[in-house]
Amino acid sequence: VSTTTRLPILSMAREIASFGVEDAGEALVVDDDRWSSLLQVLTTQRLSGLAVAALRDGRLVLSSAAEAELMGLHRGLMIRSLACERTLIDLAESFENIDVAFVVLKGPAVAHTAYPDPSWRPFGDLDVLVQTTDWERALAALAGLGFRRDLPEPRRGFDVRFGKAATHTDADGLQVDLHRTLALGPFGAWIDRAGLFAADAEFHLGGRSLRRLDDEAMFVHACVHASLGWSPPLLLPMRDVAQIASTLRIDPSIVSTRARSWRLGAVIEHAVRVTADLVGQTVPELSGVIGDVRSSQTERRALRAYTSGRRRRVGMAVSMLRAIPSLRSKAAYLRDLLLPSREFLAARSSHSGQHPSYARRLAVPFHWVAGRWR
Amino acid sequence: MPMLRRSPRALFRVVGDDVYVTAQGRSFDVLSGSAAAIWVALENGSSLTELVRTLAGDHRVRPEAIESEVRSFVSELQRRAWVEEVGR
Repeated sequence: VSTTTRLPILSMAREIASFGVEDAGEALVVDDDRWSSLLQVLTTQRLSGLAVAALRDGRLVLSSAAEAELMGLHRGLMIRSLACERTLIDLAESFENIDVAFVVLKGPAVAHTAYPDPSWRPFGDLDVLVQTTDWERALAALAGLGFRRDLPEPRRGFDVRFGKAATHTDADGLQVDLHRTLALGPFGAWIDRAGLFAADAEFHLGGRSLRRLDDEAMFVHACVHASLGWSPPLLLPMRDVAQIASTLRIDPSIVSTRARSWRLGAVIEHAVRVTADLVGQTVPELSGVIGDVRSSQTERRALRAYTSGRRRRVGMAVSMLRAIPSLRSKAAYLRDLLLPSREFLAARSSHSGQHPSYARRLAVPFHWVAGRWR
Repeated sequence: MPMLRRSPRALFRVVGDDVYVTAQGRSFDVLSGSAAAIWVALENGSSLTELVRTLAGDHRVRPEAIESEVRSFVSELQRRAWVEEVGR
């Protein structure tokens, strides 16, 4: 055991995020004067499960006061995860009653499939994928369970033509994201949604058989989440990429085929690169599972809208516009975004604390173009 | 002799020395101390006799000294449908 407390806080968090994957080095000893900063990062990045596992294994050394705080954080996240799981069981029953098939994404599916113990992988909400044809009935079922949609669709029909997901929240603040694809913008549009929905497997929770993405699709989705979810990427999604690659039986040829078919080559390459940097370049599973994944120039250009400093809604909307096939659909997409319903505008404005204004909305792309020329 | 096992319907997490188990809705109960030890010991299923013997060994007491308490707690877990009996 040696003291490594002079590491930057984020470096400490990265070490914790790599626990159990990276070759074990020296134990991480955290002094109390740096603990509160680290605890903040562990909280925002939802790393309590890995931190507790590292603590139990002697890879993380804390004072008794810090240990108690970590356990308090972890307890709260585990209670939240259990509430999500109970809600998932209710949702499964409700969807089953109206014959809406669904696939569980991320949180519970990854925690119960890829990790040695689900407590390593906390989650605070639910993500479920449904087919576009079932979209309206799934919305109604969620309403029946007491969930309210956070934002209405921009205009009627936008969800089923261009939408990625709709976030719903209930009275306890628990959220369900109802998905019809995996990402905002062009990558979500390029994914073959029927093929994605068919790429499923079974897992069990609460005495029920549920559907999740199969191992290869789960890996691809983890890459999508790590690359496109946040910039810079969050640590837990990167850990998911490493965890799935090292524990599930992934056929590299299937990953390559789907990467090509769903035009996700650049996304997978990027996710594997940042994950390898997190867990160490020596993890053979990472390069092994992606086979001969290749990216196109179009994909790399689209990826920049998510990962560069240009990550803006307008940048993604422009990339999405390029991905929409017909002129008529492009026009509909532009109209829906620039001239949404009054209901959408009012809801959006209440979120941002501004007065609803079509003029302000129409000015956004002009500001974006002007900013690119400056 | 029937085997006891955790019900697959029970949702739970082990947090430190405690076990959080969901009850109806989103409420949950916390099992601590010997209750948590019983839950952990049921991970792979066990008869009541084996369970008592295991716990007695762990706590270095005679099985007769804890059998009544274990039996009572297991009954409570069964009443809540968190533990169920299965044929051997």
